[in-house]
Amino acid sequence: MSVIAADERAAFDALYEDTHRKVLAYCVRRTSRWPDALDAAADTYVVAWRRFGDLPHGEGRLFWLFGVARRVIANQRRTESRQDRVAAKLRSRGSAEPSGPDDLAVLGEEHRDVLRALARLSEDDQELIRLTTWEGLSSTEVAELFDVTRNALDVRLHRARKRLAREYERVRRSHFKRSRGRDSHG
Amino acid sequence: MADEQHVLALLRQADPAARLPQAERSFDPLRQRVTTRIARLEEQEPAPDRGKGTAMQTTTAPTRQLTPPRRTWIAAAAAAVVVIAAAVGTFVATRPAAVPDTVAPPSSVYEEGTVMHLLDTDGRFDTFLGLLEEEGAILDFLSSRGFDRTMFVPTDEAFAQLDQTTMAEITEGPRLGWFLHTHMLAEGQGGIRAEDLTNKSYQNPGAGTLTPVTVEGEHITYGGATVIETDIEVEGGIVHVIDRVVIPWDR
Repeated sequence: MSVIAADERAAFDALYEDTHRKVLAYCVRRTSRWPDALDAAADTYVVAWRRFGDLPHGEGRLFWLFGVARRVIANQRRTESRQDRVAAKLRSRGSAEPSGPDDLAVLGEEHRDVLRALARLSEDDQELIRLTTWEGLSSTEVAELFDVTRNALDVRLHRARKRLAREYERVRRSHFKRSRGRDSHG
Repeated sequence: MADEQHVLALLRQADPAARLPQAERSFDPLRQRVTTRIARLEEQEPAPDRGKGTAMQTTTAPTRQLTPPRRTWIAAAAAAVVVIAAAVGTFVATRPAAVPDTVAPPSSVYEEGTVMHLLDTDGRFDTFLGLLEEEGAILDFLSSRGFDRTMFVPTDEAFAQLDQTTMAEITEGPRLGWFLHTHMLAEGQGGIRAEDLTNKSYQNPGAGTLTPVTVEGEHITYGGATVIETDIEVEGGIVHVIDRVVIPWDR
């Protein structure tokens, strides 16, 4: 093993140590099954290994990994069987159970509803909200990721949050309608 | 319309990643996958062909190597120190749990009293727990209150006895579910205590294989492994600890 290769290995290990929890969390938040999240995160690091020389320095490394993970997950979805895609499409129409590998039974009804509301938004809106709320990225950082100005991002984020609140309201109302319907028939 | 701040607060609490294990474990399924895939990649594509190959600054903190040869499933002895012994080289890592999220780390992500909680908190079963976490369907079952089984759990030391090929067969192939089921009994609702085990082959769930139990006085074996601790009670079931891993396809 050459000296350069050894250095690279150590640097790659350090990259993994510094980032793997955040990358895994990113994948968990965007995949429907725990093994898929693990696969996506692992593939992200394989890409990082192959393109190690292209990695930016500093905080940029994490965003670079997020970008790779996003593409890996998109590829995962593309390779799902047609049947899975149809099922996913049906799920995304209102009656959707939110994605996430965990047992949603541990969440309260309001939490399940807010995840349902999130699933009803466009993919871009979802990503904006996930990055700022769950990944804890600042508007400036998300603006860089989306390659837009900070002001433009703020406007998009503002509208996305409004849409989320509106969808949440709709999901909540649909519960009341259903329960009222049951009461009137009971 | 619902209050935006309230909705965002709910969303923060509903974060799917908040239930990820916060504490470091000696078995890290992600690390295992990355290591295996990079090893495969290196077989096909030697290091000089990768990207531009510029080395980044190496951190001074000791890190666990991701590159083979290594074995990630050797148990940690101290609570915060993880020792990974490799077949050839030995790498030592001291690593505090890095918690990226603002959520306070729970002692366990699993409900107290369940079999998963036992495996998560005992400290001897990290590898088996990591494998269960990889197998989503079984994990869902065990995380629920539906566990009514007897489970024979190999310790981390038991996994340390396996060679890399066997470990790869367990983790990388389609046999993981079969492997895990082999460590559970299909019969005996509520779990079978050591005193009720008899000399016979017990049926496993899933693939429906049979695993022999022998009882000679207080000496009990399961699939050739010795039962070293018996009758750990968990919600709905019983856990026995074994000193070796039972590989169903080797029998």
